[in-house]
Amino acid sequence: MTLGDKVLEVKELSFAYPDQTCALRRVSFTVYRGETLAIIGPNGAGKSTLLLHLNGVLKGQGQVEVLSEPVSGKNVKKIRSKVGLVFQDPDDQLFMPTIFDDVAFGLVQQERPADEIRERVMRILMALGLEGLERRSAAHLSLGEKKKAALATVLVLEPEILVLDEPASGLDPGTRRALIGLLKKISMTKIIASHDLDLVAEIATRVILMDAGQVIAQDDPEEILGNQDLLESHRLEVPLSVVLRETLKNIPL
Amino acid sequence: MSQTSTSPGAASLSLGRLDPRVKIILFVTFSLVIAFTPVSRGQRFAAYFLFLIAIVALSRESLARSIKQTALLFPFLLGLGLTIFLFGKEPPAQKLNLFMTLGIKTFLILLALQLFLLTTEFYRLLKALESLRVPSLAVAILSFAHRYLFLFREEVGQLLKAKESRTFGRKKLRREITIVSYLVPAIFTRSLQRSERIYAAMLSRGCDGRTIRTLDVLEFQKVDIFVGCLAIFLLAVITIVF
Repeated sequence: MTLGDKVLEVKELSFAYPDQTCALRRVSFTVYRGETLAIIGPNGAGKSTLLLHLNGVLKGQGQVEVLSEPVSGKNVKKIRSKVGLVFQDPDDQLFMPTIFDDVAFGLVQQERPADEIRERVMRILMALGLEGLERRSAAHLSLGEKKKAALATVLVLEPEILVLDEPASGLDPGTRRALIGLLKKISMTKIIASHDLDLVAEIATRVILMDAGQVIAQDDPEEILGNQDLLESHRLEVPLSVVLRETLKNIPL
Repeated sequence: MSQTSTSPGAASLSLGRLDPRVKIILFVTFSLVIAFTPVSRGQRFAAYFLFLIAIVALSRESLARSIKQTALLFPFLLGLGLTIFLFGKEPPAQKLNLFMTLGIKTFLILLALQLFLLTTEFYRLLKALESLRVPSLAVAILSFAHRYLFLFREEVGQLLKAKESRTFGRKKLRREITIVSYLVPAIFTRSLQRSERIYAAMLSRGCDGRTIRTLDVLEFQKVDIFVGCLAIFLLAVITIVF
């Protein structure tokens, strides 16, 4: 695969929580324009903590550069408009009284004109099939609708990099399939942290394996997802879709 | 423009479509009028009650539903009555008078409040409070309380189910109290963790963490001003005539 220009670079990033739990240890990697980078790893690998560094919500030792600009207190607003973060639990992301207000939230903070906000919010709700739900509270939506609404809250900001934490967790197969289809259609640079290795196999163009706060391996999806020893030694397993593909390859036709 | 972002149609007199700021002003005015009406003015209270019924009819709300929901608060009123009768040092007639005063006034104010809440979408109520310069922190607390009450109830329910599924034999009060004393910090910790995640989500969408700005969606229409003035005029007429 030909890599585009660099859009995000993490250099020697380390982070410990106040209780001294070391969540990240000298993590380094680069993200290129247009790619879909999947970050995989067992529970407690540091995936979610890492994502929170990418738009400056958490600040560790080391450096995070977005579009060649180091993330700092001074440019954090700008960085957050470039890196859109979708949280694992949509109930954390949908905190306003209505879906409309939730989707409009980021644009209102950017002090965009009211008419533009209304137009962009309605456009994104339509694109995600959420029209008609704008006056509803997130409390009354299904998990699939909540996930889509959470995605809308970020897509409406038109970020350059879309960061998703476990986008398919808890979804039924049909809704999961629809979400995968939706993610495939989104052409912007994506960073996805997930346990769902079948999803990763389907949409990732590159994979980083993390464990205990460290980057263990980074390579093409075929190399990492097909490496049974590597995955099992880090409490993961080869996804069924890869097993099936390999099996089919070995059947003489 | 979307329906979400506009004020409702000016032609309708339905209470649900009335600007919530007008409703808040009317509710506060009505409550003050009731609070300062001497209890001896029975006819005036009856007129105020009829005034509320007229609004119920206009708003197409069910009177039975409004009164039924108001009645949910009667036990508190009875508790108040008991306190007056058991602990007051006044003569019984004066106690009864005090109870009747509080009872009638509380009923009318609660009925008005019920009517206001039944006919106002919560998000419009929040917008109205913001617009009326209620401190943004207070509005944000109300907003979060409304949004997360369901989740809080769900989480408490899950913890209680987990407790029940591992409770065997007869329940003993002392043990139940001990278990609940363990559950309360667990609920508190979960709430704290969630609040941290919500704060991170707010920050990641450009919020500075100090003020929560929202899009202003309320617009005064002529009908709002007309209905507000008419209601205050009718209240004044009732106060003068009775």
